[in-house]
Amino acid sequence: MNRRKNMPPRLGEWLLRRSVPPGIAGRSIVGDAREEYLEYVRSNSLIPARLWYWLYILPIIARYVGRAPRVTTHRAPLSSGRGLRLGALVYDLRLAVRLLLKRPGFTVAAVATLGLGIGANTTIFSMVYGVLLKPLPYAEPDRLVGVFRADSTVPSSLGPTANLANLFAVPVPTFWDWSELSPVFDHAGAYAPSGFTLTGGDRPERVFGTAATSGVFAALGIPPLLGRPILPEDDAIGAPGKVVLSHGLWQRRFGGEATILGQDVMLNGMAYTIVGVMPRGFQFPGAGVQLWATLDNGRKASTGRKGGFLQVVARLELGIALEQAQREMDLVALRIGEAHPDERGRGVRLAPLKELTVAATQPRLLLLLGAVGLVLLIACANIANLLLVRAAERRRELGVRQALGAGRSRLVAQLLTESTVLSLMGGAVGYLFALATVGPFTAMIPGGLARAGEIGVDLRALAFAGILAVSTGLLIGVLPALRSARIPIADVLQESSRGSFGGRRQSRTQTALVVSEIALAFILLTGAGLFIKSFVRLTAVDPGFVTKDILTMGVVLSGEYRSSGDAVHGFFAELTERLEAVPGVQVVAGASQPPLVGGWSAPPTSVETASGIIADAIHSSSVTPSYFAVMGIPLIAGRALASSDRDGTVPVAVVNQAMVRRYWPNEDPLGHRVRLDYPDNPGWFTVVGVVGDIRYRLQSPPFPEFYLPQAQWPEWYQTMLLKTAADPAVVAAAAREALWAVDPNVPTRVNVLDDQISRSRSVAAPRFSTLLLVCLAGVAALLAVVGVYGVLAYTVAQRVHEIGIRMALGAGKQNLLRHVMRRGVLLAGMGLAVGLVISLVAVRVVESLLFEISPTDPPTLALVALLVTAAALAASYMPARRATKVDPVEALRGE
Amino acid sequence: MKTDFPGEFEQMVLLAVLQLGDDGFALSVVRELDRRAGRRVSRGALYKTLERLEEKGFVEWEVEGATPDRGGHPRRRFTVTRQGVAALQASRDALFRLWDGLDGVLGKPRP
Repeated sequence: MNRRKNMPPRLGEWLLRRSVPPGIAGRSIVGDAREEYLEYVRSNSLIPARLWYWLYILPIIARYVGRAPRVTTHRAPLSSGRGLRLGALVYDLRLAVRLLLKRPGFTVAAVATLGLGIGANTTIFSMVYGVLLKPLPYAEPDRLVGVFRADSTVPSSLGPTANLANLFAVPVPTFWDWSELSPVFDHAGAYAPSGFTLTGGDRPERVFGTAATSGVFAALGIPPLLGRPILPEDDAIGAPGKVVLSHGLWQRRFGGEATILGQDVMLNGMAYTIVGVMPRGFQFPGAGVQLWATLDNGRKASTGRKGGFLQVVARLELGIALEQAQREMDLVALRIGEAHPDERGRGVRLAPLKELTVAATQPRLLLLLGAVGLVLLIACANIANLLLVRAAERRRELGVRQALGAGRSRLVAQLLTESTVLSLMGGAVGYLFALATVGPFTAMIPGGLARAGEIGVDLRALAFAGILAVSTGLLIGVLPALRSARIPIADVLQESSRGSFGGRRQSRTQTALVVSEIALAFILLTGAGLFIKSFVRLTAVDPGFVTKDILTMGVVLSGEYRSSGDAVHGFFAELTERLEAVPGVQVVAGASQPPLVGGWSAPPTSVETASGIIADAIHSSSVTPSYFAVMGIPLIAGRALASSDRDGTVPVAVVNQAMVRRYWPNEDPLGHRVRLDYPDNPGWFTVVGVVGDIRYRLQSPPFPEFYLPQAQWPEWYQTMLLKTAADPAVVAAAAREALWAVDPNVPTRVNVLDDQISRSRSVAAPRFSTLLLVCLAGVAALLAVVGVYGVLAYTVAQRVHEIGIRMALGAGKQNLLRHVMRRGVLLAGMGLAVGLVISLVAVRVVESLLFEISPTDPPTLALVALLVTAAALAASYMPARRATKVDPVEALRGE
Repeated sequence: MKTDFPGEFEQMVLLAVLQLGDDGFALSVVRELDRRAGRRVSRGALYKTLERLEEKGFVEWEVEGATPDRGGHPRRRFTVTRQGVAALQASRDALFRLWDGLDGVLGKPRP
């Protein structure tokens, strides 16, 4: 029997011990309970035994506690006899609630502040838990790894996700070599997410899906709800296409009928047989994937090893550690490299699947968690200050109770109970807040959040809110409580009722609290400032093309067109003609991979140079001749593509400057040739021109790319770009009509390029973080200002008497004003000093999220410091004014 | 001397402790009461009663060494004091006097 089982519930035993009388008598009762529990647990399982124990001890506790302490006059148990503890707690609770109800204004403000603070933390915690901490929803997820091709000159010791940039997609033969040669994979599967045009129902539909090999299902280990997954026999070249549906697609498009198994559907114009349906909630590789289809024959048969399009997931053999697997796979990569020249210098890199899934979100989420944590701390400091003031007001009450024999620990307990009741109420509000906000908030995150479906406010979040509330209660209560309990009784009782409250020690505590508030607010404001500046720089980046007045229209042709390049070219030629006829449209261009709004791929390519042929993966786009004009991409050298570059004439290409820098640094690129290394395309394209660089992601520098004329290299997916005379949104409907006039069965998405860019992850994600951080920093600054104001107002109120004397002695109003304001500036100065030191260290964590700005950017720091000082001055002005309004006669009358 | 009679449940507990002899532990008392009188008692009531009996001077206890089963907590062995025995006797005598001559109504006591 295990140890845990032999122990009664710890909390229960603790409660029992607290309630029974002290000494041997009480301890023997605890012992009896344990003995009986042991007897019971021997013949019962754990849960019933625990329940039994609770039912056993509760009546005993009730017996001892039920006889509540007899409190007559003061209604407070003044001594701290042990047997009274629980009774005392009940008393404390009652008193705390009564006191809080007596001051509804204070209570509501404090509970609301704490509620927002705890709520925001709980919301973010739920997201952090769902996204970062929760295990992936696959069988034994710890054994799942993503496998990539990597540049073998980059050491693997850098850590799996340290440089995601060095991870490349995998060619088909490389994947099969890996899975055959690997001694460490239980199963390995390859997949390639892509869009599918689903026809065969009443209307064509674009769905997001994934081409996958059988190993994907084997590795993930989640059985289908219906039918079977993709099996090894489906991986064979020439095997008929098979598709597994997601639960959502099955319900939505196929009415949830089990009879669909064995039916054929058309994907991209090819027939696939439905063989299975995955259970509800199954996602791979991410949300929104609606089907998993076998690779089409063309892809299965691909033999090139230079560039790839597959991603790989593998399940490690039981007991194999990641490091060991990496070493074994390094050897495998070496062997493959020896056999295939194209694989030389190519390594393999393993990374835990979970890290890969969340790598993009992790820094932003943690940043958020840190920010809301700081806001809560500031709120705590504020409320601690309020409680401190309240405790000072209750000095006499507490002093009297002490004089009547209440122990210090008893008083501390009382005060802590009050603050904890306050924070528990805040926690309850916070939990409700989290319940209400986590959904909308997750939905607001641009570009979606990896694993967003896993986020929920559950029991764990409740526990988190509870723990946060209790620790918040202790945090805000401990200073006031200790401070008050240390009151020398004689002093209090001798004080006149007006008395000078607090004294130096009290004000030092308050000062410390406010200084830390200012410091924390400074850190947050600095962070926000850096983000704003970084975002401004990001949006000021010249992408190398114009985005104004352009309508985009994504068109993906399905199977019947794909059989021939002529059909594709014919379709787009006709579409272009019709679009040009739409009123308001000036020029129409087409591109297979326009910047910022789509993905990009870098197929294997050979480049002819003076020193020989270089094989590499280079980005390319098939475009119409008008593309450069529509996008405002300047011609640097040679000529642009022309409508005379058509099928049958010399194949030509235009390259960008980055490509020239990379491959022909000291040569004239014109006249050199490039070739796409697809098995069916041995043709070379001659470089006839050089155009300006454009950015596909604002954060990344331009990379080498080349453009091929659409007439010579037709792609079945194109984004039509319509340069319009006025607001591009106006022509959207007419553009759609034009497309349907060519073929009513082609689905499309029409967007305004400017909107699309501002919604793209590249821009929207940093904008969202910036906005959020600015809001949080704003709240923090506001709280800090309130803190400064509160402390100074309190000081002035306390020192009315002293101020009166000063005035009577001839102190001028200016003098007094300066005196109080000086204190405010001093507070701000100390806060800034502390904040600066901390933020110089702390802001480094956001470095990776900043764009072209140092986390210790001096202008930002200076500006924020100025802002904080100004705010502190403003906050101290009102109390200072009040000090000058003191009537010396009134103030001294009491003497 | 004013005789302070133990209450009904107190008497049962005292008698059970006497019956148990050297085994007068609280948990044994629980079992004994169940076995002899068919009475299931709550632990809380028993502890409170033992406390009261102790205050009245009817029982006393000594500490028995702690065992690992009890997580190192001690065990109390209760014994009935001479005062306790005297109180039981007084109570029994008083009851006998009240019962005397009522066999016709109540029937013979069962052995």
